[in-house]
Amino acid sequence: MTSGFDQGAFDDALDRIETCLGYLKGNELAWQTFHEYGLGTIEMPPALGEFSYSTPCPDGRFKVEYWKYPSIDTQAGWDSSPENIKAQVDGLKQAMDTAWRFGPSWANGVAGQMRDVCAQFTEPFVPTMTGAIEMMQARVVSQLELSVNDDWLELGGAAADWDGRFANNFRIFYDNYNDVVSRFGVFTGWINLGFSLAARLIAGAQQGAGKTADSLRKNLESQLDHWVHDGGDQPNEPGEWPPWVGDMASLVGSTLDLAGKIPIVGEVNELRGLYSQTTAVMQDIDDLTGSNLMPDKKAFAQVQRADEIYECLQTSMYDEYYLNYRAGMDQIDAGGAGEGYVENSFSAQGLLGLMDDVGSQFGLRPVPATNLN
Amino acid sequence: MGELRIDPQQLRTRGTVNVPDQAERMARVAQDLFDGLGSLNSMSALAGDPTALRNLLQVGSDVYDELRKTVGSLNNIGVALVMTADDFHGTDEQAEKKYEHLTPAPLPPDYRDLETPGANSEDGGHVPSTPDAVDPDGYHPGR
Repeated sequence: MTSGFDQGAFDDALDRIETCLGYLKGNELAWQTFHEYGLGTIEMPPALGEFSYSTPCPDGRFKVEYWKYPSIDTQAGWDSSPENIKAQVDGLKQAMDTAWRFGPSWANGVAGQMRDVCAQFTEPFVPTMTGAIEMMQARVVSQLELSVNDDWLELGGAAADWDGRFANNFRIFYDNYNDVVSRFGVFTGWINLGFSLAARLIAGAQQGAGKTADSLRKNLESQLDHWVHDGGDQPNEPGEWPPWVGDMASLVGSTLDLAGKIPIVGEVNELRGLYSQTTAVMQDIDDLTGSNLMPDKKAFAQVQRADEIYECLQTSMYDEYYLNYRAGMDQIDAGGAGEGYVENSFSAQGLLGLMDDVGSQFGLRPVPATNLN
Repeated sequence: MGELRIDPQQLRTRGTVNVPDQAERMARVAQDLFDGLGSLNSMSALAGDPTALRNLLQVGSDVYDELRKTVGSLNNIGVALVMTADDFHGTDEQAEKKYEHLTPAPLPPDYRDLETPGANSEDGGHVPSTPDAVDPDGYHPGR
């Protein structure tokens, strides 16, 4: 099984988002400074030369070149000597540099912040979870189910005659062995189901966060290309690659629906159904990591400015993925009810409660190594 | 002393072959459960130890403890059946030496606190529980 989520690529995308978000904010601030520098003005006479300026962006691809005639303050007492005009122009360039550099520091820390927001669902390695579940299905659940037949030692009732001090312990152990060992298998099957549902949530959130980060990175790069193309005019059209956001709430709902088909009741004979349900969930995770089962949100945010893109990043990662991931885990614990849900449908809390109800009957009474006769 | 409805030699074979086979088998199953739950415990810690997973691990821990005790009882039962068979033979000391040499199935490791936050690996490493996210609402980058 492959994991559809690449932690390294996700980290790179977040770093790139932080970098590009800083550049974009820098462009916006430099542009604002350019337009606010000389208020109440006339245009600088072309004879004095075209104003050329480029942003101090360290990435040449996104360096914005200005070829403009800026407005110069010509209020009373203004000195129109070439020296003064040069001083004004130099002052404007310096102010634009300072403004631009505030952009990267404004964005500083965004990647780390988003990494923290997403850590609970990006840190777990889904293939480790599914690998452990598959191994336990094959080597624990199946083994316990197929464990033993009644009178597996073919004692033919001999034990009934023994009257040693612990003969009764042995008889209880032997008579109940089959049922109890099968019960261990059923409970392990439920544990596997619960973890497979959790893995489904985690895989979904990973896929969603990964795709969102990637789309925001592309969106940002596209916005920056627009700035370069427009020669220092703030673009009025949002860039290509509208941010993609997955519908995590919907994935949580469908995950809980899977739990709703499996009952947890006392002495069960549901192992086969339980086993196949878990297998189906695992298959589902396989599909999820390999394709686009994570549903799209109906509305894509139309974002353009640095503040809007940051808002989109924060809302999708925290509100959509993190909070719904947490809610989903809470629902796996508490269980749900709804159309198509069986009575006493699966929940982690319910399973723990059932184990408590079974109490001391859950395991087998110990048998010491003594003569049974 | 009660009757013996099974041939002592057959009973001895149950104690030296059949029961140890079963004990070995259950010990392997227990070890696999131990390994599987260990992996899931580590992943649960990384996932922030949600209550759902801690409850599942609590159940897993209990199943494992019972399975482990079952292996111990099976080991004892092997010896007990040999002792019982030899008791009918009346070959006390000689028999005693024989069942002393029965090899018990290896008892899988003891499990403790699987359901508590974080995870300890067998090699002594510790996987801390990933903390809850802080709501970034109101946070402004650069401040």
